[in-house]
Amino acid sequence: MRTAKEPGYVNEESQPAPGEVLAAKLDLSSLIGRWKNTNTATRGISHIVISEDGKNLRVQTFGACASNPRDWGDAFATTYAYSVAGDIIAGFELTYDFGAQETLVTAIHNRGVLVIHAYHRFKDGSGRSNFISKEFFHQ
Amino acid sequence: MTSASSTNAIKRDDTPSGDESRETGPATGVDLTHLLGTWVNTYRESSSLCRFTLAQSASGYSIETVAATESGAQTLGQTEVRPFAPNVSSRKADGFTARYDFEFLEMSLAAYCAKGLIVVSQYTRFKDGSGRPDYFNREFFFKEES
Repeated sequence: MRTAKEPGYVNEESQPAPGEVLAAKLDLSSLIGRWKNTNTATRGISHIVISEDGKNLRVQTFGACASNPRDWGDAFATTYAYSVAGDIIAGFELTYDFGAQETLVTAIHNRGVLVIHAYHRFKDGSGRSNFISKEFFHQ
Repeated sequence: MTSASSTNAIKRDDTPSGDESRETGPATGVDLTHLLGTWVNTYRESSSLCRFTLAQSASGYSIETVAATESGAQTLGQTEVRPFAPNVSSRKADGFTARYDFEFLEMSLAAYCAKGLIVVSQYTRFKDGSGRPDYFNREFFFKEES
């Protein structure tokens, strides 16, 4: 049995299939643009704006607030394909650090819906439970 | 074991529980008015349903569906919609069903709401002896802004 400590052998799907050619570049185009929350009454993320910056994906997230959406700022996201040889973006993740609170945003694209999970972790000793929210976005 | 016939229910969900506050409303019918309007497929390259419109009709509610065809988007016409609440104590629709019968093909739609989306499961059954397998698919629709 192989162990995960052996370099490159976490599981089979982390290896390219025999003869499979690795992609030179990930096609980010399917995610570029403005994504609106399908739930107009959301208390989580109201919308996000995604752009391409060279080979990188730049993500700007807006939190739902009573007055106006709060701009969380833009940052580069780590991008993911559907497989190790994939050349189309499947999703991304990035982490925002607000000091008292840290939020990991993960996204996966499925037939025109961007499914975003936000993992909120509190670092301020307020006693608030860390929590996860799941929301859907469309263009 | 209690027989289904003696309670007019086949499972616990079929009767209101004590802690569920019953919503007021007409004695019959589930309200779909909050879902009326046009809903657009999130997947623009869909080869199935592009959009649908829910409207009120003389008998209750109707759906008009537009499908992707070889010659572009075409309406499949209107058919009756049957709304469903999330439980027996609610009158507010959380989903619906509809059925189209084109004689050679029958298409049943079963839809539910999920955080502002309507998720439509589509069951297509062929009746023309063509040998094509009946098939299922599922697509997501967002509300078109009016």
